[in-house]
Amino acid sequence: MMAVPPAGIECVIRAQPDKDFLRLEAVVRSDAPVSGRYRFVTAKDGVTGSTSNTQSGTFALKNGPEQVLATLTLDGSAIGHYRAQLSLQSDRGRFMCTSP
Amino acid sequence: MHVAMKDIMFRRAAAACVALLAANSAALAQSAYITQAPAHSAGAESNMMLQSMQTMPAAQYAPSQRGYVPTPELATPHNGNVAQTLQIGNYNRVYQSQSGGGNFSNVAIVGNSNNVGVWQGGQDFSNLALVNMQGLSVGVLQPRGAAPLNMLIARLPNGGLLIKR
Repeated sequence: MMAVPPAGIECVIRAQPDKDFLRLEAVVRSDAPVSGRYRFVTAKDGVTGSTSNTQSGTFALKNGPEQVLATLTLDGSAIGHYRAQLSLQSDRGRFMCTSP
Repeated sequence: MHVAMKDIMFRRAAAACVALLAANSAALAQSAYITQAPAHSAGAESNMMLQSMQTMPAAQYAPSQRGYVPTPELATPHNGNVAQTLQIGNYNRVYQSQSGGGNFSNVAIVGNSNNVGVWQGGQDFSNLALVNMQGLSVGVLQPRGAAPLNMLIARLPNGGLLIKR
């Protein structure tokens, strides 16, 4: 699996922590139309307990520069205690990104 | 003193869940009992398994008068999957699996040592809240296009179990 995305495609895990929650967004960006499948896997192990989350499906980026593939909101204890991985399999190759 | 503290904790927990259950306002004046699903509707109904449960009439329950306020995730057309997890307490475990697209899953736990698993196959909606529960295991299985699930399971200060669907 390629760690570096093909030219023109960007794999992003957008983490937006605030006081009470951590919001994670799996995003694909591309200048040109791209389609394929995604798999977004996250795991959190904090003081309140553990959470495992797997989200998968297809995507087709046609018009916009980016598309939010999946969204996950965790309680604030996840901040600093989570790992997320987004895997993309597109018609222009395979790639993945991780957070943090 | 202990009872008073317990009552305060329960009120706080219930208040924390009010916002999470705003989408539940459509279920006005429903019975506190879980309705038995018809045997022939297995493909369209969500399947829910409780490790152990007991039911009691919820005579003190008052239907919510809050208007339906969709969360930003629901208000905005979303092609992908959305999952939310809120855990307050210790040793809770949540597993959410979403495949396909257009799934929404919200799990809120206020308590300790609970286990929740949610599996969604596509275009599914589930909203599950456990309040003041200890050691409960709940599984939510929703095949593609299953009926939406809204459920509150709460241990009341008097020891009773409230299951609101």
